[in-house]
Amino acid sequence: MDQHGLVERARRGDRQAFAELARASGARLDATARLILRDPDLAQDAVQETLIRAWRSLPGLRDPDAFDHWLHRLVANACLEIMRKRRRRVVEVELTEISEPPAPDASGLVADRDQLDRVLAHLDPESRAVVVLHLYLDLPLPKVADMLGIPLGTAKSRLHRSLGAMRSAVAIEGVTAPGAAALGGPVA
Amino acid sequence: MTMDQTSRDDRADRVLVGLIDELAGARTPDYLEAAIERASSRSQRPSWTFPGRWLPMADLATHSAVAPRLPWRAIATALVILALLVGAAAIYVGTHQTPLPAPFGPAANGLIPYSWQGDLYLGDPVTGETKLLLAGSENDWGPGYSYDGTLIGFIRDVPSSDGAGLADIYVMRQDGSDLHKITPEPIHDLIWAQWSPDGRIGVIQPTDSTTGGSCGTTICPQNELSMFAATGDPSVQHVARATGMDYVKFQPPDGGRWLYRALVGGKWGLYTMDPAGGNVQAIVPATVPGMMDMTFSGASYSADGRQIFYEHGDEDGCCQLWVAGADGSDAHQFLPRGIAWDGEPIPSPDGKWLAYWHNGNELSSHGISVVRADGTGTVVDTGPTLPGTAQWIWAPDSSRILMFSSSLSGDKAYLLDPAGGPWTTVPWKSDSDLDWQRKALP
Repeated sequence: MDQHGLVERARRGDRQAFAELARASGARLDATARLILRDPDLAQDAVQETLIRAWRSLPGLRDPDAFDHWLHRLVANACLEIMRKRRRRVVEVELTEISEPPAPDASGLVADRDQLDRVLAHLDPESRAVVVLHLYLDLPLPKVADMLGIPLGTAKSRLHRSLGAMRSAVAIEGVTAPGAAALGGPVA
Repeated sequence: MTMDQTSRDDRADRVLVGLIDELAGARTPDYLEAAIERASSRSQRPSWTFPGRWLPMADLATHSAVAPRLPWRAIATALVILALLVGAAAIYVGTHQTPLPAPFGPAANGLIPYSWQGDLYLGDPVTGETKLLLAGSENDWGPGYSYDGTLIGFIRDVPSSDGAGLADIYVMRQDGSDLHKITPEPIHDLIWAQWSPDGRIGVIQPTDSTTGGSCGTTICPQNELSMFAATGDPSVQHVARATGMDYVKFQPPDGGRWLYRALVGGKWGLYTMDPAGGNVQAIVPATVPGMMDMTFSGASYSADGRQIFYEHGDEDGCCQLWVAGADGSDAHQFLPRGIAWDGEPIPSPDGKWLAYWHNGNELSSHGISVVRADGTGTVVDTGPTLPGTAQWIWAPDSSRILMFSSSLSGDKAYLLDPAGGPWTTVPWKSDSDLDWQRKALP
């Protein structure tokens, strides 16, 4: 059965259909959460919360074809919620040492990936969410803004700032990115 | 920015996409199956619908006290004064009190309460105007009018750290005043909630909050129906427990019998009980396999309460429309069998029509069809065909069907002509079930 039919069944309480949908999306949800949260344990919490919200709210999903977008919004918001809670705790009990990001290393793909990883780690979670939804999930920026509940202009400025930092961190000369996809899908 | 700069940025961005894909390293996580199990062991978001109302009647008790040795003349004078006062009060009430609608049957159309993103609104389907009723940081949803159209009940989610589904039920006047909570303790995994004809609010929840409330593939929990006073009186009536019970419908004209479905011996049946939970009667004995959990999921009494319409699954699948007498007699298929999935039958308040969800092909279009309540005549498809599903309700005067069919990015609500004529839209949408205020006919 295709996704449309599975969503129809799941929203009527069919747990097997929901399990199939969740299995099909699990890897992507986990990866999205890890990219945004930078912590596998927190990512697991976010995915768990996403699946609970998805199951409980499925009867209210009136367009089965919007299931993927809906699920991505749930995971993004679950991540941001976790980060906000965690940030409050960090402010209360912990002082985090902020180190300077290392200088760019053009020695190869692994170095670039590590550099990008560090840059991503230094982005604020809201900006990271914009980057991940747009670049990893390949969602148009208006959809990203809608998902995160922010104005389109805010999403654009967060992406612009983040891209600037990331571009400067990776060496592009002579590098062929694995599976590189075209960036900048439909924005409007 | 120069072309050279743009080109460099484009190359860098393509590299970034590839690197982010690498960083993501998407793989099915080890915890996924446990997470799925934990999520789907809970109940789904409950339905909250208000298909009919009546004026709640307060119990009136008279007490007499005999005053000894009062002079007859004084008594007579007092009686005359009392009669005059009663007469004046009756005239005042007769000329100033807003008339209230009859409990069931046709009524005038009032406002439409709806929720959007945690806030409550009232919409006027005639003018299209909306009014914010209740806003705040809480997640409020599922507003519905009481049977007399004067009170609004709604659900407020209760945050919990462990993801447990907790909710309270609140009631307020339609101007937003007198807001009060009626559930002494938060409801765990709320399955269903609805105004009852006697002015209380019925709630169904699982008896064991660790199992979730909906039937799964291997487990179907025992659920309990409880009645809460809309006044906030903390006394609660625990009416009945039944495996798989997930809704109750009240029989017109007085709510004398309550209709529900339940799983008995692993099979679904359709039953009625009295308001105390006793005198249970099988409308359709438990014969439908438990896996076919859409069966009987949308049963309704006819407008006069003499019949019950329901969706019936059988060995060929789910579901076809059936009808039976209110006592279960003369059960038969309502419409000729076809390839379609037909369900969620809802009679019009005037009793003339039956609207139902018609799905000609599960993977294509869905929509609302209308047929005479006696099953004669032609079936009329009304409104747009939809790629997804919808929520819908009859107007109290039976002239329209309000249908919310929206993707998350936002279609509007449709006002459908039951006769199949053109439909219009109203400029709002809801993220929970629908209701339409009943008002007294002029």
